[in-house]
Amino acid sequence: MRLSLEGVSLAFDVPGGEKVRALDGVTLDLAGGVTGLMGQTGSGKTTLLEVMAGMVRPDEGALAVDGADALGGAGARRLSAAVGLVFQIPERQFFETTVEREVGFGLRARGVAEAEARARSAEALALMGLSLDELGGRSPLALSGGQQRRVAIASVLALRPELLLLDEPTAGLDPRSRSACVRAIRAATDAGATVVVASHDANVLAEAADRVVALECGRVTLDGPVRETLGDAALMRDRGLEPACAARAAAALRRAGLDVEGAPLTAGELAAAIARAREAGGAS
Amino acid sequence: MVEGEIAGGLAVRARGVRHSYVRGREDLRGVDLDVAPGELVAVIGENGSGKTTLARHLNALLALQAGSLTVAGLDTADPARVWELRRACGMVFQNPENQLVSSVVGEDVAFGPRNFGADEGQARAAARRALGEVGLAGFERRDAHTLSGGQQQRVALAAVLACEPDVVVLDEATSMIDPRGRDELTRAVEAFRCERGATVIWITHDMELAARADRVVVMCAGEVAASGAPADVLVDEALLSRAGLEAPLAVRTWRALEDAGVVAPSAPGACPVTTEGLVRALCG
Repeated sequence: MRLSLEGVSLAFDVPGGEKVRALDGVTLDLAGGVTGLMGQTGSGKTTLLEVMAGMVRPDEGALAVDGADALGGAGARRLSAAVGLVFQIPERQFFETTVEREVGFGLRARGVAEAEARARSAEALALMGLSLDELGGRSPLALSGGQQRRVAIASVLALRPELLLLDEPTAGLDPRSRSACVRAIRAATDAGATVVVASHDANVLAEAADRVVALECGRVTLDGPVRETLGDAALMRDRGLEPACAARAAAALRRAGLDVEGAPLTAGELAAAIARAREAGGAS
Repeated sequence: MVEGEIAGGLAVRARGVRHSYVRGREDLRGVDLDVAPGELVAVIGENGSGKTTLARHLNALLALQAGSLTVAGLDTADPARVWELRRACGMVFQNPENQLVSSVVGEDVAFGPRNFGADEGQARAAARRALGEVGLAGFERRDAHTLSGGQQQRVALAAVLACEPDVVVLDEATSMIDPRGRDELTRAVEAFRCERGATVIWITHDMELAARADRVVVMCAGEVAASGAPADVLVDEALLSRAGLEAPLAVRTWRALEDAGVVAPSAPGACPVTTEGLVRALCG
């Protein structure tokens, strides 16, 4: 699904009669792949996700789905049927008595038959590294924090959204749950979904994203492929953002005199770049 | 730690601490832990490993069910000393918005001292000093809800410091704030440690942060699975994997270099755990 935003602006009223500009002329075209959304707290990430989901109407600008206006009429209906939004700390919204009912709620509400709802719930939980057989009968509130987050994300994945929006899905998660989340995001995009992930965690985006968009005061200040953004420590720092840990280490090694080439995003890529630099250094 | 040392000489002394939230499942299964005054201890472990449950016992937010626990020389099971204990051991939680008691920063920070019996002048002086220590001098009259997440966490930390604690517990205090906020909070913790020599127990998923602690404690399934210097604990990939954790980037990179024969297998304790350590090891 192709989602296009053009010149999207939005201001909120704050007490005292002032207006705060949350989004300021955002133009983006998203079609497939995973886009990582970065920016400081208050830069407009969550508001942008809400506009993309059709939950919040911008003051100015256009929102289109596959070329059709999505701010009203058939386009808006198409968007609302296609979107799956995982809010920040989504486990706060649990209300069902069992994990099975929680994950299958959206499917049943859409009239999906019981057997298929169960199969799709099991599939979504498996994507998050959890088992319906094992956890299905338990209260979602009795799970550990990491399991709760994964159940909450699975409840959106079960709907197989064409447009999957996630707001800080890995905040507070341990490495195992974080990896499950990255795998599920990649699986969703491999299945054809257009995915947007808002995150402060450069290392999660280095693994999950194809493209990175950064916001500052509601404006897009950076938009490019993951390696040309998160892999470029100097560029990221210039925009007040954190690079991937491996890119930061590569920059530190270069400053110390080891000529590490490229833009490594992971430990494996960094080690390979170091090995090449050492070989070149030894040969000269 | 010296066995048999009197509890009063330790900041924390835990012996066989157990806790069950529901019958039939043990969330803490006999925790033994000694923390020396002035130590910075990072507690790591996957979601559900018991980190937060242990933290909540440290200032008697949970009632001791079995074992013994002394914090700042105070028995946490002694109901007569619970207020003294909560002054001596302060906590900063994950969500900055959940721990503000007043919308005015100065009032929020003075709330603790006032409740512990300080007069108005003393409470204001304590608040002023604590705000200065966390880099928020002059913020007394600001509206707490208009601050960034990082600033709010520093207000929460100042509110703890204003009570002159012996032990400060940070429970995933950086996981909901952006990287700038995380760095601000880390600097504030360093500053007050220098100033006051207080003990810090920092529960975190951030392995780069854990690598900078005096000691790392690994929690796994309600028990302390390991405790030692970062250079010993964070390089043990088998242990970390069992605990559902991942080694810091420097360790993973170094191991990949060892496997590729680029560097010689390192002696125990020689594998770098921080980016700076990696740069030193490779560039001298």
